[in-house]
Amino acid sequence: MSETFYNLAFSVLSLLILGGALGVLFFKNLLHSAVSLFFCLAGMSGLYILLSADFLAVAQLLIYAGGILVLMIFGIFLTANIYGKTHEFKERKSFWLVGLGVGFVLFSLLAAIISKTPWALQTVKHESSVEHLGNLLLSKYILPFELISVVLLFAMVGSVLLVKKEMEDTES
Amino acid sequence: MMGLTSFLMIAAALFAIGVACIVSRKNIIHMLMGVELIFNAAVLNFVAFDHFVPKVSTALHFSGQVFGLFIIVLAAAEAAVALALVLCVNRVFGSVDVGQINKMKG
Repeated sequence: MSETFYNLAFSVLSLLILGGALGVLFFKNLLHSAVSLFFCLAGMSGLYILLSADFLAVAQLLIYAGGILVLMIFGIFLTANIYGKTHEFKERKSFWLVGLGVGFVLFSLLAAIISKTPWALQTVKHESSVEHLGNLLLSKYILPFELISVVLLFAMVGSVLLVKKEMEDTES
Repeated sequence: MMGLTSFLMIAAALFAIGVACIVSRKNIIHMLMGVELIFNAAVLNFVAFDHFVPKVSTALHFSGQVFGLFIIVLAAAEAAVALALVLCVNRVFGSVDVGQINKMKG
């Protein structure tokens, strides 16, 4: 990959990501925010490919954009009030001022730290990561790998239990 | 030009936008979207450091991507449980406006 293509791809993807994130922040309609979050996640996936994390890029598209976002859209439609406009809430101005202020302060702090730290860098090389990830997951990180499956089981059972309606005992 | 700092700046911007989204929004699901933005910023940090910073031993190569994978899986589990809680809150309080969720006793 040549240098200019890398820079061009990075610029386009970062515009997509930041545009999507600002869309999530500023759109009044909830569904518009969800669509803009999708663009942000797709841009993140492209950025992972630039960082030689190809498996993670596809996993991001499958799990995040294809699973979590769809789950959120389900949640949006299940909690919509059909008699009123719940997809658009009007927030108070003070909320916005505090939120944007906090965001600016955080970003300026982090940007100052990032630009002033002398990072020790290495020469980058791009290689496929699937084989290495497979090796690591089954040799060095086998315990977190098994534990995550237990966590997923608990999350599944827990969320089903949470939304289960109570059955009336009309007949025993 | 595309060094480590540019990726870290994007992650910092995503984190700040996520926090602003959580603080300034009234709908719970908007706030959950802000949380997802923060997760994405963390994963980008891990993957960028894994790509650019030399490791102590070769056994740690691509460990950042393993962490990123675990974060993505945990974010999925958290989103499922969080949306189940949102449905419960909607059932009890009748709306997903955080201004109206102000009673502790059910």
